[in-house]
Amino acid sequence: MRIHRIRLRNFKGVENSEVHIPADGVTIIEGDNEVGKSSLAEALRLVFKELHSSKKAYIKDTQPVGRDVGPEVEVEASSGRYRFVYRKRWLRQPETVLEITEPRHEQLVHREAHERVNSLLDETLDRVLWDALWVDQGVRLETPTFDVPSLRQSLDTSAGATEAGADHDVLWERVCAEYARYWTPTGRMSAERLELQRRYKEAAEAAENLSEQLDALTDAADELDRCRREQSRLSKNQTLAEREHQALSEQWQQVLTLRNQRDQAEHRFNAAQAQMDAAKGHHARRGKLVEQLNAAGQKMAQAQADVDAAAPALTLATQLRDEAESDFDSARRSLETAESELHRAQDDRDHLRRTIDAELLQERHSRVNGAQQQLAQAEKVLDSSRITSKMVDEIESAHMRVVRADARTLSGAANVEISALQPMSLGIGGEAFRLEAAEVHSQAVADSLDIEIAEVATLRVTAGEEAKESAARLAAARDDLRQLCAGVDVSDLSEAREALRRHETAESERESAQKTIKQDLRDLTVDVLEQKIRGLHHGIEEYRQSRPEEPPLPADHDEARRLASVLEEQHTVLLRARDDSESRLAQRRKALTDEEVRQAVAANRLELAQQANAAAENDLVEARADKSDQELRDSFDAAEAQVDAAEQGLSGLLSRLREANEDSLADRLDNVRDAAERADRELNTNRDRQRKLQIELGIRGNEGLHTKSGLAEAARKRLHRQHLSLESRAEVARLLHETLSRHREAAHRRYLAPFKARIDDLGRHVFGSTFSVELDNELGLARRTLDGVTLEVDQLSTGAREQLGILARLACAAIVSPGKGGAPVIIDDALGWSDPQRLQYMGSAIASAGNHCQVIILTCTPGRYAHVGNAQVVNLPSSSESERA
Amino acid sequence: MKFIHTADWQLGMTRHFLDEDSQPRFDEARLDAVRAIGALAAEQGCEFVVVCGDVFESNYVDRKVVGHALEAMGATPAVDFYLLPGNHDPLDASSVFRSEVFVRRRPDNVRVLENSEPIAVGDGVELIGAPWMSKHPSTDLVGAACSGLETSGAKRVVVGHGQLDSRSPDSLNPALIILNRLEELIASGGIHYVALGDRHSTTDEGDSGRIWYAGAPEQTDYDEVEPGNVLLVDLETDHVAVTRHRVGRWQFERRQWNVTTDGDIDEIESWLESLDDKKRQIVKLGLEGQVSLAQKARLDAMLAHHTELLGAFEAWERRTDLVVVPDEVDIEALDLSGFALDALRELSGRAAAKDDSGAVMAQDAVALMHRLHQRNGGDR
Repeated sequence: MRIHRIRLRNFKGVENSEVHIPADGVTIIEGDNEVGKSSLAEALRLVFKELHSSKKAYIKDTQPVGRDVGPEVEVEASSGRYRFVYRKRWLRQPETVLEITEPRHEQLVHREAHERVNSLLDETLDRVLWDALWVDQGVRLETPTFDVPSLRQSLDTSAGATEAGADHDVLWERVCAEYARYWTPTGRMSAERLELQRRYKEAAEAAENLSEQLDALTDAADELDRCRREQSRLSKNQTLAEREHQALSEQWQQVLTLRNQRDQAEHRFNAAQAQMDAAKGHHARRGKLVEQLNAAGQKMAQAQADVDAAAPALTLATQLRDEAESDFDSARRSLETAESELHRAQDDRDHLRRTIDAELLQERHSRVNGAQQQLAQAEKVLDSSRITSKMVDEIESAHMRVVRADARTLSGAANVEISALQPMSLGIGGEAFRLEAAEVHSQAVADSLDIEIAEVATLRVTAGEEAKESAARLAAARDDLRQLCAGVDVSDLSEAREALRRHETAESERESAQKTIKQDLRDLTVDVLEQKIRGLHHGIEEYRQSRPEEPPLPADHDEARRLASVLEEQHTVLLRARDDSESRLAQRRKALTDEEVRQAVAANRLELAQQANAAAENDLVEARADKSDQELRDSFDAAEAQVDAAEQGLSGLLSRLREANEDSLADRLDNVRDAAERADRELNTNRDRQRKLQIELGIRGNEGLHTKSGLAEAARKRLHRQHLSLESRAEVARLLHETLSRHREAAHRRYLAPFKARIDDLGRHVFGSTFSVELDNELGLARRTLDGVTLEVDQLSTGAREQLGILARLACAAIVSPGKGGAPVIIDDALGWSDPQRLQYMGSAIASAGNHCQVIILTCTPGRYAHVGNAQVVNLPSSSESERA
Repeated sequence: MKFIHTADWQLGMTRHFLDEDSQPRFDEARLDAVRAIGALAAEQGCEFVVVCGDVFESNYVDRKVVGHALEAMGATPAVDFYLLPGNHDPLDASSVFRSEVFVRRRPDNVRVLENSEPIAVGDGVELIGAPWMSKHPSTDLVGAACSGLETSGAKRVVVGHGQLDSRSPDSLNPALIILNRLEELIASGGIHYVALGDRHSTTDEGDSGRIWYAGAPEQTDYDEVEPGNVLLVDLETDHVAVTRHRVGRWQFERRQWNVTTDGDIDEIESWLESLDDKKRQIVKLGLEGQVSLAQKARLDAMLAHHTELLGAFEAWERRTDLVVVPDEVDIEALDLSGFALDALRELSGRAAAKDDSGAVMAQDAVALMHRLHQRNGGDR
């Protein structure tokens, strides 16, 4: 299909506009949004889709605002062998008009026209393609599938062979089903295989278990036979061992007798040896006694010489010690005198300090006393008076109210003036009065007043109502004043003021007294202060009485301090001198003691040496008295002869024992005894084992293990065969599936090749030479490869997806649109996401595609498609221009 | 004097190629053989039956087998059965002949030869047994049993079990029975017949005609020559007549075929068709050669059919090397095109390749493709 011309009247914002489009190549229709650029696309869609009678909302939306006119679209197009002009108007005077100009003239209106257009489009236009090639602004940016009949047909034609028939689909499904019998979708073993494998393993385990049991049983039978044969051998061993034991035991008895004799000979030899040793000992001791006497004599002479040498040193040491003692005594006395003087000076200094302290404390005490009296007086005043300045203000206000009420009463009250013409008695207000002649009594009457002229008349003067009210207010004011005054124990305002002044004075005095007390007491109480004063006075008095008259007390405290300081320095000097002489004395004393000890030791040594010499002499004398030196020599010679005789006897016996080979005999006897015991043990073990095996065979032998094991082994082999067979079939199914799948995919790739090649070709304009795409089975874009990196289409940026979508549409249209076939690619202001560089390359791709199909681009952004080199640009006139047109 | 010489009943034997259905029939057939032996002995007026070892497959057979065997022998109470313990059922500590079932249910006409003391059976006949006391004897038991025998007027039948030294390459085996010694004893008139067991094929040994292996009364394996017999022995001092009597009904057949043409397949089919009593036939086939897809399909279908009929069918794996290579007829018949045809050609190429280790699998894959493509709708 090709669009040649579109005309809009009263369509949205467009009053009247017509655009001519070349049949091939790229046409860019530029115009502002208001001039109906998008209306053109919408009109193109609606004119083929909606009946003129339609009153759908989006049809109504195409009516210009505020104008009751029918929106109208007229399209001139060709599709296949047809060329026609098609016009529709909606809402007002709706109509459809079709005029077919080729291949033969037809003119139709209304519904017939609509149906005729549909039928000729069905005949010549792939409607799915028509929809697929449309790129709307902002919508359907995603890449659609291109599984459209016309593309399929083109690809089929170019593949030139029946690549995939329906039969092969059936075969493929069966191969897949066969594969699925053995393999899961993720390539693992199917449940059937796993189950058989499990059964085989179980059967193998069962067979192995039974086989082991059977082997164990057979082994037990063999072992029992072995045990029986072994038993007779063991019995023979036992007899032999016992016999040999008997023979060796007899030989051993003889050895024991010889050993006894040897022991006795040894005893005799030892006794003779002991006697000889004793004689040797006696002889040696005699020699030692003579040596000891000689040594004692030498030691004694040496000790005497040491004692004689010690005496002069002792005399010198005593003399030096005495001198040191005299020095030390004199130093000590000087120090004692100085110490006594120092103590007195220090006591004087402290005494004078106490005197000063006592005076200061006494002054603070006097101030505190005065302040306490002042405080008590002020407290008394404050306790008796409850008045405050506020109360005085209130009393003053009440007083003023009384004064004002009084004035008003007097001004408004009646006045009675009685002038006596003669002396007279009369009662006024119940009170007796006596008036002299010409005396006048005047009285204001605020309320009423009775005047009684005795025995003459009673007069009642009554004030007016206003005067009565004034009088009542006055009474109330007075009452108020009275109560306020009574509240603070005063009679009137002046007293109140006086009372307030007194109160304030007392407060001030209390504050002053409290401050004085706080300052002078600081952290003390009065009692403590007094106590301190008393303590100080007592100390002063005591010191004064105890101190001697001479030397006199220093003039003042400063003098006393200076004197004490001088004496302290003197005392320090004397103390050091005393310590030096004391130290010297100690050294001399120690030297003397050392000399004394040395002399005592020498004397002691001499004494000991004398005693030792005497003892040695004594020992030798006593020993010789017991046995003379000659007697000792004779007994030694006799003992030596006895030893020789005993040694000879013993040697004979030892030689006989060696001949009897006693050590090896003992070992052999032990060995043969062990062998006999072992034979017994082994025989018992053998019998026990036989019993156990007999019992085991008796029980397990009857279980039919051979039969069970044979059946289990048969089952194992059967399952093994089944298992191997199933596994083999699984591998075969996999091989078939894999091979078929590989060829199928290759065929598919060949089939898709022209479409893919066209997209790759266009894409290289935009993305460079490394660009390629992969298509899925539905002829949709699956993956894009660029610079060796392959990404799923979903992973690409919005801009790249949009570019790919347009490229795919252009490729599709280019393949299916030779002659007047296919459909135009209509791009409604897309590529909004593309950068200028990309736009430039896209322009080149669009231009390239435009050589094979019709491309219509609607845009309100003229620059966006400036790089489509061979494009024809149509400017939509603005509304005002179109009106003029 | 007539008696039956039999051996190697091996009652309780299991065979892995028998399924759960065939094994009980196989077991039952062996008991039938025992009953048939008793009946034959009675019919022929025999004095007794000697069973020369391996009466039972093992000392540990199911005790039901023992019960059934005793029952089968007891079915002919007039016929005495003398049972010799052999290498399968030696008279050791676990001997089946000393099992509770055997001892308790042994009929009077059944006796066990427990030692080599001569046993007088009937008029002037002595049996000399050479029982196996363990699985591993250290001497020629038969020779030992015969040594030191005094000459007597009785006809002596020696009952033994084991291999003869003349047949065994394993000359170091101390338990081999020395044939010459027996022939000397026969020649000297010390013994008159040696009834042997262990060899499953009926065999006349030596030159005297008096030393025989009876063979197994029911075949147990493929490589047995002339099994399924018992021997009817008519023994006199100066002559002996030994006659084979067939009691076995099961047969083991093992064959190897070269298959390359349809004719070969026809031949296999007619051979299988010709087998009698198919449910007692155990067949093992080795197939070598090269066949087309169609031939393989036909072969498979034919073998599947006979597998259902036979007692058991086994592939002789060591002797099977059948190459399935689709020929052009196969490929055309499949009527494939495009990718399916490409895949078929690839697999066919691999299937025909001599040096491709995956050739067998490729062949199977081709056959599978063939089957799936030919399948018409439903499952086969």
